[in-house]
Amino acid sequence: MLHKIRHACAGGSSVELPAEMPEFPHYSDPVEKFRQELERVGGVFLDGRRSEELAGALGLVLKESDSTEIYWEGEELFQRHGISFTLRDPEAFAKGSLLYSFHFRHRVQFPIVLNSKPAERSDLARISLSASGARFGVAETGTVVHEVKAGRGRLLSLLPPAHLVFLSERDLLMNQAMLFLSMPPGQGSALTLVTGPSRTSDIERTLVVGVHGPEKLFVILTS
Amino acid sequence: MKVSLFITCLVDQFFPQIGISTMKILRKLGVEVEFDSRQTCCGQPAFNTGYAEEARQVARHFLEVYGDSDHIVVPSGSCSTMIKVFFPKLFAEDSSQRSLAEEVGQRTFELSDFLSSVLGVESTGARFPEVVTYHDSCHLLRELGISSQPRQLIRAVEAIDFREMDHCDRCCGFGGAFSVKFSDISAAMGEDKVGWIQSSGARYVISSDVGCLMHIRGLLERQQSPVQTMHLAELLAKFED
Amino acid sequence: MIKISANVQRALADETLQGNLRRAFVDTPHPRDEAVSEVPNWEELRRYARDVKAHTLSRLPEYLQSLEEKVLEQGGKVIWAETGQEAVQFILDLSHRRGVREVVKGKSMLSEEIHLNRALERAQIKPVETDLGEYVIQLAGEKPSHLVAPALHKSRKEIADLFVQKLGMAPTGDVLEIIATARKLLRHHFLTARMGITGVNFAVAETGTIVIVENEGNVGLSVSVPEIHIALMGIEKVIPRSRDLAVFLKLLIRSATGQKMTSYVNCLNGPRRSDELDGPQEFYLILVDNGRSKILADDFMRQSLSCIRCGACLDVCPVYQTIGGHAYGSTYQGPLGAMLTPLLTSVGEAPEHAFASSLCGACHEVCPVGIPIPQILLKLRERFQSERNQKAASLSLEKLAMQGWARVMCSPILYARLGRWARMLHKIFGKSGMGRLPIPLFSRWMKHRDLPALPPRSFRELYSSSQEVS
Ligand code: SF4
Repeated sequence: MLHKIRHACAGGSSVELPAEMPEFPHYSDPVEKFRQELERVGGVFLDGRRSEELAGALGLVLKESDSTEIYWEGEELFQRHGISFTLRDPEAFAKGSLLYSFHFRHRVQFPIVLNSKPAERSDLARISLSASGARFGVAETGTVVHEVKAGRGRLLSLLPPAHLVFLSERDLLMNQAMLFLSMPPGQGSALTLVTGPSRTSDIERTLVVGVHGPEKLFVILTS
Repeated sequence: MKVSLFITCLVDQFFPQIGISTMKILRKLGVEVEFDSRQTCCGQPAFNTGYAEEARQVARHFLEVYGDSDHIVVPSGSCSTMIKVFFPKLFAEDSSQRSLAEEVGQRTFELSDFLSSVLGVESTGARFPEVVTYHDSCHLLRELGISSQPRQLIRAVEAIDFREMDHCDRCCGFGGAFSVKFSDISAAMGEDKVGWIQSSGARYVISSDVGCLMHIRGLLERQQSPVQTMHLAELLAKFED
Repeated sequence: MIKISANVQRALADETLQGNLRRAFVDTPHPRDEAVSEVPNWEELRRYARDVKAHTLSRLPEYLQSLEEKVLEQGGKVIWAETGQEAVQFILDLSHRRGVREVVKGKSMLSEEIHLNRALERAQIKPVETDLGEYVIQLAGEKPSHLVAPALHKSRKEIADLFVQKLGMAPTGDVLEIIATARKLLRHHFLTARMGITGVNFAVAETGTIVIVENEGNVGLSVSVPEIHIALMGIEKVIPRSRDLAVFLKLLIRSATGQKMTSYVNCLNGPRRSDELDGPQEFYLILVDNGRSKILADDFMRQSLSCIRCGACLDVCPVYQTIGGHAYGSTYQGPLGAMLTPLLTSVGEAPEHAFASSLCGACHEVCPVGIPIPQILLKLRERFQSERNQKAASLSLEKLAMQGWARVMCSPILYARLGRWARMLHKIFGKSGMGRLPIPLFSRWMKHRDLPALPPRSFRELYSSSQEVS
């Protein structure tokens, strides 16, 4: 078959790749642009750059998603976003159990106390709120980039009706071109660009939010 | 300045008054107008239905007639497009016919474009105290990119009330052979157009293509609508002799 | 043989279809318009994309090979399918080997093109379409009528009735409830299916990344839950580098739905790694030719393979807006379908497609990769006529008429004389009498419109007499 394609190609004219990429927009205040774009597609932006704000933001997410527990994706998330935590089961990380639920009774307080609990697929289907860290954010479109790699998976951010993403300010890129230029060539098996909640316009072109993926998407910006 | 008129076969056989108007406008502007009676058609009917060879023959005839003309003026968007855009494509690259076709194409102008862009005319001095709207014919608009020139000239007509219709740039459904091969689709598209023309409140719909006008007029007449069709040249020639 | 003309009347009489087409494309401005006007360098992006595509197509074998290498490196498998049948057979065989009884599917036009669902059903494997629009179409036993919005021809009420009848949903007019029903049912399929089949929007040769664009999250689930993921792609979908994605995504998404970004863009690099929590254990990329290399061999027609399936040409096409997608009778509709159907099959198989266009050029104007669809249709018309009239002994009546016409048009004397005769005829028969003459040209015209009255004298006659006077 390749032979056939080669044959078909042979007669045609050869064309060079364009030398330069077209310009992509830059913003004087990328955080503000990110917020606008995320909100425009129905996402919720929360500023957690100051640690005093973080607890409040988390509380709001819980309230809005009508949840009392969060399923977290991995340890790195806490480190990367400076969220202080203690483990109820100190050996949890070592045991390689990778999801942690954390129960709230009242207000969110730090350090967060985590209960380790490896989640099964059947659990995933019941979880009402999950949290993950974004590899990148893109101001141009209000996009967060979810990277699948060692110790992480695809489903935690897709199955629950509400999802919370932590995005570090230093990972916020201006535009899509910067994203694809700085993307690490495939270490993991999947990379998903997420822009707002799941949606469809398949019925009479009416926009409806929340089909198969999360109906609510929260992004907490950290510093 | 000397201009060779290409009057087009449809105007010649069906709507001679458009040719006369074109001539009247050009003469008024001090242009010397010449009509070579060897002229016939631009070849579109064959070209648009896939008969390239026949179109090529007619194109050759055209190039013979107009090979030496300085300016060729055509009161039709689609015929100008045929000459300017498609004639060269009928001949092999690097052939002498192709370069001739390209040269002739560069010397060919649709009427409103010639008036605005070449002569720099703002007004033909016409007067027409009526409500009119303008239908963009597809080839004129999308192949030649001409949309402001006719509008400027229309707006400059004394006492005219020009109103844009909705979807002025949507195809009326004529499409040459399409209008008979897919007569039902063509008519349905035309009826949409007629609807927008009527709701613009205009009494006259102006266009630069006889094909579109013939189609639109045929539909209007079936509906016994009071709205009339008028070629741009006829409108612009509404001045005292 | 596919005949559009046979379907026109039905389409014109279908009130739901007419209403939906009007509402979607005629009465309200398309979201695309604004999304495009916001981008100051849109034309530059278009040119870039067009050039990248032209370049890639001119070096297609190299890029496909590099893609294959990368996919293999990541632990995926690559299957080369020369025909749709070969692709289908591979999927059937694999399903049998793995004992798969049910497949969840993401939206894929290629899957429609190769009639995959029919083949799966015959083999007792249940395909479940998971894109909401596709799900509706599948329930109704129909075909998509639009590239991007497959159930566009259906009203909310029709969809609700369908759900009541087929799924036992309680009657409702509420879109939210319809969607909740679909969500619940499909969630069950997602969690139990062992194979996911999706299409591909772009495949990056440099990294072996498969890119799938979507809004609902159904593709994300189809490529994450089942153990096996099969991605079906036409060979023309490959692009050289990751960075090109930035441009293509911008063009595709804005052109298709007017969004800046879709909710999800899935970039997939083979099966799950052993240290990842989930994802498919097996990943297959099927490269499908199915007539594409035939198109590639024609330097001019090659441009049609640049298509990124955004559907913008359908949305702006007045013919599509008038008859909808089903009337085309082919997998691809609108200007894209008019162009691609005879190219993928033959002009004999789809004799009317290239002619079902007024050549207004609205498609070319919006196409994000600048495909000159009208010019391609003209070339196809040429191909059709020359194939039809290959043998001099069997020239069609139309061809003979055209030859005669060309002779007249090359002879000013004949031309002038014929004009005079026509005017004489017109005098004898009158305007309406002309339409009753056994000439299809007249009768078809006059079905809907009046003929213009022939003037007593042609322009040339008037001109020469005025010259005599002056
Ligand atoms: S031909 Fe152009 S406009 Fe039409 S679907 Fe393909 S890319 Fe989009």
